[in-house]
Amino acid sequence: MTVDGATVVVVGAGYPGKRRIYRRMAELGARLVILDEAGHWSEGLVAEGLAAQWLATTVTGDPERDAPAVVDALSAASVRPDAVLTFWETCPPVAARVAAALGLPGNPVEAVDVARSKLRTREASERAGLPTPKSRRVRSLDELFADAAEIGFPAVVKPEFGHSQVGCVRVDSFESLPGVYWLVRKELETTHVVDLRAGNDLLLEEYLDGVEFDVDLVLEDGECVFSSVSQQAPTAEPSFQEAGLHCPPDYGSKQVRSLVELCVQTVQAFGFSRGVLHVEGKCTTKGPRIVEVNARMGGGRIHQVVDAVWGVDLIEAHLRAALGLPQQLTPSRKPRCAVWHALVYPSRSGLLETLPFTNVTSDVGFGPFVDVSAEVGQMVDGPDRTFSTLLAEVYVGAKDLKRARSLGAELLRDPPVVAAAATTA
Amino acid sequence: MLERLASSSQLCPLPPGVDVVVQGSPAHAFYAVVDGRVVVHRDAEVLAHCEPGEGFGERGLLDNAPRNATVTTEIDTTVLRIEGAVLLESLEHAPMLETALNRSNAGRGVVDIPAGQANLIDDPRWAGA
Repeated sequence: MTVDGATVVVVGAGYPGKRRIYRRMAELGARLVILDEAGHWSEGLVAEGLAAQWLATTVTGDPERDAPAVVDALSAASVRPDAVLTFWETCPPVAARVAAALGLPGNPVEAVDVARSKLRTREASERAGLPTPKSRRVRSLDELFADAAEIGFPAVVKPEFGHSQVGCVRVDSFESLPGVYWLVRKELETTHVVDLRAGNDLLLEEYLDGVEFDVDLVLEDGECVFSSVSQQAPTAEPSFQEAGLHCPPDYGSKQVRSLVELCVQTVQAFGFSRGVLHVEGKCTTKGPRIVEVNARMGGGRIHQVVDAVWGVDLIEAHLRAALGLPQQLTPSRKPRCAVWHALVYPSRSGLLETLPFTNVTSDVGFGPFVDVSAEVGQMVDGPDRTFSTLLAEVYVGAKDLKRARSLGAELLRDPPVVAAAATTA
Repeated sequence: MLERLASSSQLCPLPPGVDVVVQGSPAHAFYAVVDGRVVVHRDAEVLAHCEPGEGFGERGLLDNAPRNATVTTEIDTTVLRIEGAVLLESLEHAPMLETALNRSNAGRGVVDIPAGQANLIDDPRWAGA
């Protein structure tokens, strides 16, 4: 078995930005068979020459229903896959079930399910004796108040399913509790990264102070064979909308090592043994803590960031794991460069009038990448609405972090101009 | 006493589809609909609707029993939440409040409770129907 020529089933293609991943997999020689809902943008990947086949399947958000539908679709199309995987947030439980049903390599369904639910993540972590923030599932307004009295303030309300802190909001008092229903619902209804069909119970959790990190892991035979750490920029609380990151981190190396150790212990305790995982955690004043575990590769351009900084191709690593092939990682001992990333939000709510970016040149050939997600002329939400509209993401690499930050600041020298909502009405 | 009740009360504006209480969970508070409308349901069966001026949730507090129905906002709705412990303390000091509470709710005659649905939910209007 080799990657070249292998039939690889992709369950759930995700948003169009994932095209980069499928292009890379096609470059590696994988023969992609992509399954998603009828009418999904990914159907066009066949015409683009990136996928060999595209099949429609049912996507309900319930893996017990969606996995058999995928197996049936593959059978009906006479597809005999060598691997089943996904890079899309909502689909690891489906991909894990399909792989298990077809006898293909994959992580245990139970481990993937534990990671998908933030509540089960907390429960499993506590059972494993790992440091775990207090957490309660909230099914009603009645429970929200009762659990807040037990957990105390500040606390964090978040959807049970989701990632990247989408829909997460800090609450500081009983008075602020009812408002979270409006905030979280509005955020979830306008994002593409949380599938409400998977359930929309909320979690109330102990607030974690400190600095947040993304930890990308590659596991092989139950052991961590590679890790990359990216340091998150502070978020504009009470929302926890991501503000950006940089890789490598410039935080205390001892604390970061402790966090990576906790991440590895956690995924091992859950039963993960292979592939690429994306864990988010914090170095708090009480020590390292896990925020969430994702049974998939990190989103956005994180794979490009890791490749630029460490020379490790996470897409290939994930592909090899799904095919049951040994990893062939040769990470750089020292960072090859530094990458700075920022998410651009409006300073206030209103009409987006301009979204300028200054031309800069990376001295290491990484970027700048500008991924625009808003259009001039559209109404946007600013910090006054708690969850701001994402306007763009920018990435730039340089020989060191200082230079990368400087280039990033130059790239964003002219801020977006937003006309106040009241004057545009 | 009224001041104590008032200070432990909170107006809670909610969007549609929010469960105010859920079947089977412990009772923590009493609720009154100030604006909007809620639906009382159990096992996918609609039992009643509550509109402004109507309350629910006291029976679970008085009997220290779990909620035996779910109450969900149907439209933008504001409920007044009174902390259960404070309500119970008030009832100890002023027993006539409990009578008033029962009478008030019983008199409202919330919509059509199907025959045989007695004791389904933690509200005297429905439990005694």
